[in-house]
Amino acid sequence: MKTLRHYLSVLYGTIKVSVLNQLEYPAYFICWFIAIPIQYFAGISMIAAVSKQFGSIGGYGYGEIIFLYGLGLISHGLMVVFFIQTWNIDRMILRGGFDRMLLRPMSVVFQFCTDYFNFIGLIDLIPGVVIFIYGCNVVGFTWSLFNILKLALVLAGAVMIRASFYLLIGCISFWAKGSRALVGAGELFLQRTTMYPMSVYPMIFQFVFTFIIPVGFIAFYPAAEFLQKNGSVAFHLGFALLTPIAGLLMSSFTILLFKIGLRRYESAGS
Amino acid sequence: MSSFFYTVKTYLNITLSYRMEVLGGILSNFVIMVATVFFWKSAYINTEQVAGVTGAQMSVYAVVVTILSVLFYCSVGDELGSRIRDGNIALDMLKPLNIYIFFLAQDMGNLLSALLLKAIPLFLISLLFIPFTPPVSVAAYMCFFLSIILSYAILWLTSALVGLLTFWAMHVGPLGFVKDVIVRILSGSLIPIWFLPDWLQRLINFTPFVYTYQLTAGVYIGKISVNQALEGNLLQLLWIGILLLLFILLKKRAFAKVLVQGG
Repeated sequence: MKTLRHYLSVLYGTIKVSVLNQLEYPAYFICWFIAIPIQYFAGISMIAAVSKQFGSIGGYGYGEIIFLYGLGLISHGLMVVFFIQTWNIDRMILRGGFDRMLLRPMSVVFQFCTDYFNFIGLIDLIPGVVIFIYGCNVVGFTWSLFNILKLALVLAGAVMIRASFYLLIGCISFWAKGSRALVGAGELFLQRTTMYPMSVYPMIFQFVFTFIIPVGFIAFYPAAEFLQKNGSVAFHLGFALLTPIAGLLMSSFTILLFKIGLRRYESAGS
Repeated sequence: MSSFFYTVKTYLNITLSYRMEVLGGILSNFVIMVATVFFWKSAYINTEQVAGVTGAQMSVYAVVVTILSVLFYCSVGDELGSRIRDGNIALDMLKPLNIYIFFLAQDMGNLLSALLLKAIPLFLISLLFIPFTPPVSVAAYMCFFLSIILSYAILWLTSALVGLLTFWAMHVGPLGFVKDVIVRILSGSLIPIWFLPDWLQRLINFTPFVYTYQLTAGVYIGKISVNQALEGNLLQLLWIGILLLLFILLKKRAFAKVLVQGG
């Protein structure tokens, strides 16, 4: 119990420092406050406009597309708030950020996961919530307790999948140089597999996105279940609980990889 | 003039040595290209053509736009921005060469390296997904090339203008990012404006960016006829004139500001 309290107090301290840090130069974030909402709202408007013109895309109609996009965007926003440090692993290695963590008497995994509370990331989260709620209204989503619980589980699992995906890319830096450029490609990859239905991709791709890199569970399969579109998917995996399971599996794998990478980092005597 | 070519060559070499960045760049664009091609293929599954364009045309459009986007990358805005922020711009202005020509040479070097390292691989990869489709006619081909050059000028000048704005908006963060987002939306590189409602199309036609990606790719796939393309080229020239004028005006005021602050 004492350890739990200790961990929580460290968490509280980290969050406080992060937020104060970000509030110091508020003007710097004006660009993000403008660009990011524009990007997402314009993005969904365009896809929705196209879906109206064409009737449906990948079997998903206007409201369903908005629902899917919003769902994906919420987990993206949450990831950006809590785990954005996964994008900067190669820079942390360069600047000795891990040395700092290794020297402290606390689990490096915990330190890393709670390193930065990116409250500016709310700017990604808010459009997600708005778009999702609008989508819910259009498709007539019922806010029953059961659905809310499912949603919470799905979002938790989705955030885990996203964060471990970036952590995986970042771990490359323990062995080779400069994974920063790959993070950008990774971002785009996650975008393109969650912002419109995975059913637009051919079977091979869908197989990979389900069983090898389980990005399909971030938004597509949960949405398929919520919207009851299980008939139109290649793999009948629209079961909400599968997302947190996939999330846990992927997280365990990447955290293990992370620990191996750390050990290599330590012994290299940087 | 030889210093121009020297800079081009040097930056070509620099970009060639950043292998991870090249790989990341190819992967990013690969993801975008493939995802967009499948998006359109799936959209057209039940329809032959929409807004006068077929599915096959849109797949080609997606590939052309992706390849153009690696070629049209301009770093002048970011370079100007960072030099203004750290004050080096004052020293640059004292040097016996035109700093903007220097940035242009840099971007030309980037263009060459992008052509070799990104555009050609992307083109080859695209052949896995769609058959090679040349432009609809020789005339279209020529308009296409003309449009590429003029589009580059528009985008370069826009980037330079945004870079100059850093003189006045130093602390508001990466303006270049805002510009990129806006350009991406208005230029038809995400989704061409033919699919948008009429009133929106009319509005967007008043901005310069629709005469970059959309005009270029549009004439390639034949959606934009040669006559329309030539009109578009004229409008491109007009916009280049406007942007150039704005650029010269802003440059003068920026220079004055530097003098006043004592460098």
